[in-house]
Amino acid sequence: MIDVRHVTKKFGEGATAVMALEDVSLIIPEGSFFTLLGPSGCGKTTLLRLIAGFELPSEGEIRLDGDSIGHLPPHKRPVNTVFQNYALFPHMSVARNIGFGLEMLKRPKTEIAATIEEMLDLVQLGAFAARRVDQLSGGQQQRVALARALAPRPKVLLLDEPLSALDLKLRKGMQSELKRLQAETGITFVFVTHDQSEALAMSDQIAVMSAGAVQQVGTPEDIYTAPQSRFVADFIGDTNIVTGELLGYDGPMAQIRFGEGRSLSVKTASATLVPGPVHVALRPETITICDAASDAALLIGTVRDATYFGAGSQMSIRLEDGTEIQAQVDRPSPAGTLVGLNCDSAMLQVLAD
Amino acid sequence: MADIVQQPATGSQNLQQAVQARAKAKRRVRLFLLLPALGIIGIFGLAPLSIALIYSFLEPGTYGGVEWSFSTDAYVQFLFERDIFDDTLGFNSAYLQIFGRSFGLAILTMCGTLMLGFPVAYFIAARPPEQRNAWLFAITLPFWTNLLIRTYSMLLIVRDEGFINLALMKLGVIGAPMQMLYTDGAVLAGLVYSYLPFMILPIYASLEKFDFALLEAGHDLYASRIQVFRHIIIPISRPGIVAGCALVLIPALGAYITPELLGGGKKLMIGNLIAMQFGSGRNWPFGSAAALILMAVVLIALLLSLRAGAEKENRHG
Amino acid sequence: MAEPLRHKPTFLRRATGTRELRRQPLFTGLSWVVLLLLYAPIVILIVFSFNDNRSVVRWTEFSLRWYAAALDNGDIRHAAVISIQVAATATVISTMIATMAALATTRGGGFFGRSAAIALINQPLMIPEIVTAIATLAFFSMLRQLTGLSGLGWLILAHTVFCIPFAFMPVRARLADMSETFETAAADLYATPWQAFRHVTLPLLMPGILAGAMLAFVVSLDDVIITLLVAGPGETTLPIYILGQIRRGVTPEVNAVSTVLIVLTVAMVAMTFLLQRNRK
Repeated sequence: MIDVRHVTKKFGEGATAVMALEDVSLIIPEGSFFTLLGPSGCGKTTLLRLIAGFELPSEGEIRLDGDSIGHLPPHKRPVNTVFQNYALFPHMSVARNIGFGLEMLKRPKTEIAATIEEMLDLVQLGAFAARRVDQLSGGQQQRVALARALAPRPKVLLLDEPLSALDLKLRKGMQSELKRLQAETGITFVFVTHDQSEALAMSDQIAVMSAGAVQQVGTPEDIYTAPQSRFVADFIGDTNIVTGELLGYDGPMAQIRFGEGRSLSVKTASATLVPGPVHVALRPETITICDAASDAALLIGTVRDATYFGAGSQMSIRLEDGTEIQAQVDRPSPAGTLVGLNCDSAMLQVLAD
Repeated sequence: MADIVQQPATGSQNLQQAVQARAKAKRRVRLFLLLPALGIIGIFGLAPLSIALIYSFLEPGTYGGVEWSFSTDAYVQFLFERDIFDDTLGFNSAYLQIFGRSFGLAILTMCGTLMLGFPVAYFIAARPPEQRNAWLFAITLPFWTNLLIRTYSMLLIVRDEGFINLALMKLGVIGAPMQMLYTDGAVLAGLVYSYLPFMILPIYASLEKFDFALLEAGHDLYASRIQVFRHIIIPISRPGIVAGCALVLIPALGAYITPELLGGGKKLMIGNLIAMQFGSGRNWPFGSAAALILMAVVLIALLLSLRAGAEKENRHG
Repeated sequence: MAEPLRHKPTFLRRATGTRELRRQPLFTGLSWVVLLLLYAPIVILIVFSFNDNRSVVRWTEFSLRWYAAALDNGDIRHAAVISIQVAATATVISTMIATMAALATTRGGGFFGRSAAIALINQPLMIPEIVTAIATLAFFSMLRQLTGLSGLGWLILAHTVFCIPFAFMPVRARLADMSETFETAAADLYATPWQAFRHVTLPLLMPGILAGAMLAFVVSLDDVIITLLVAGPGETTLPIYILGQIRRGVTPEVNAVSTVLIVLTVAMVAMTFLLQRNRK
């Protein structure tokens, strides 16, 4: 288990100092596939480098299984990294690359040889042991990088956007490969990415980061269906954010009304919002179209246009208050029609901001 | 679990220590790595220059070396001659002429290398990438071979029994050998020959990344060949031209071997004048003073070339 | 934009305007003439070193007699030994020192005074050689008197100083090209800083170090002016010997020695060039 406690990282001094991480606390459970997700510059890579030991935190503590490791140099941490551009040593064979960690730990030669063999099998590169790394394809280099980082059996494997250099098809394959490796080895994987679909597909848990802070931690489902903030709602998938009126709370649920419509019981990210206008997240695929005059209509708007995308159509609708929202439907209504929008109230989420 | 409350304190203490230890180790390693280079060059590269400065204000020793008494004679000597009989100073332009010749030859060398070097640099830059390396190699190779040997090979060609004379005589153009060796022309040719790569390389570097499609754009906008050259190619290669001029001018000013061999000791340049003071002439203070004046001139030329380079940036920035 | 055009087959190239516009026909001719002028004197020198005649212009017959004469000449042998002693020692010391300095100025981030340090290391390149030569002579003659020490050490020291910037350039260029991620990855894989240097940085840097060493060797081997002034009695290097001979008159024996020096230099520079080209 990695326990990140109140970690702050500043680069530079004085007026030009840049705050990369600000008071970040996070628990990464043992044996999980944990993803740090966020746009570039959000601090996710900095956090990874702090865990690896490439940088020291300005403040705070990082613990691994109860031991404080935040101050140790990288070679004294039982943590290994798969680098974004792999950083395979170009002057060594595939086998020596994989055995490098154990070689530095001065393990017996027989053990190193056995582990190299085992790792080559694990990543299905048995025939490539003697190759030079520049003779491998991008996907193969990726596997060698994985094998090299796994060979010393670290407690934690850190992966810094390892799939970003691969093309789309290879990336899909490597996603399931990584899941398999994680399950087989049982090692905690900390995976950094800016690709939300990758994060949703692979992770046990996701920490969404922005501007040097953790915005939300949860399972992919939590993050997708119950975003806490506008940032998370916006960043994960396509989201419509509409304004509703908060009437009050009914236990853990918020009472919401759109326009003159009926009151709905909706999940909420915060139980301390003041009654009045609030932001509500509404996923495009949860919307159904109904007659504008019907009771089922929660919101009313005019169809602007529709785009066919194969599995259905994406309709762009302008609400009465001018908000533009997207809805995925099977059969789009013609532009200019006044339509009612309906949605299962369980799919709505009141945002904290 | 009881110690967990206390751990953050020790943790942050460790952290402070670790941060300091890392910074300290980094500084130590850096110092260890830099000290030999800075030490050797500092002591054996810079200190001699200060010694030369001190020597230039002393009196010459009888058999070389210096007498430790202050004197500005070394500098005065440049312009004036002390009369042996009545100890008065009379204007003497001999040394000034040597300086003048050195400047003249250095500037002519610069112009010569520019006129030959620019077309070559342009030609190489316009080659397909796979041919460029071969050309660069061919141009730089003579530069690495010994300057003395190259000058000697020049001498084989221009002397009275040399190749040019022999060929011309055989063709019946001339009846008797032309005197080419020991002329300013021979020295100039030797200097241009020696320093040409210094001009080609920086100009090539500035043209290397040049997108030749810009020429098309220029012609498309009704520029003639000469206009394109003036308004597109010259401005782009300007930093290279400035750097090349400095790289040629500086060693040409201090040239020793070329005027020695091709000028035959008759057409002296500053370099020979300086060296003589430490050999047969035996006036170390005067030699030091001449060397420092040369160095000052070179530094001024360097600063001017830096300024010329910077001006260009401003205009485009 | 010009990039894709270059790779078009020749018949297509001819049709595109860029190729035509960039070509300045005058420049092409001039470039070949310049190349010819650069090499002609050297080639003539080499050719006539194989001439079986005292004359260095009239070709009679191929012969190795001047090489034999040079080999038989005790002064030349002595000068060659001195040259190689000085160049080899100065190369080893200056390359080590330059490599260390290159590591300090490219690794571990910037620091106060870095550009000043680099400028100081390059100082020997910025001052006319004749100035360095007389200043070093003055300084060393003072030190020689003060310490009472004499010997080849002084000449080696003088060579080491001006070899450092030449060795420094390729090592630093190679380091700047080399991603620091390799060292980071080594540290991540339990390598101590020393292990990371030994197993990762040093082997990757080797081509740069070799290139630097060869440049230093060539520069030291070719030096005339500084050696001429700083060398003590009996410390005649090959170039100084050649200079002495040329002053006395032209002999094919000098051509032979010069040819050997040229071949040696060209071989080393060519190797350096190949090393740097294959670094990808």
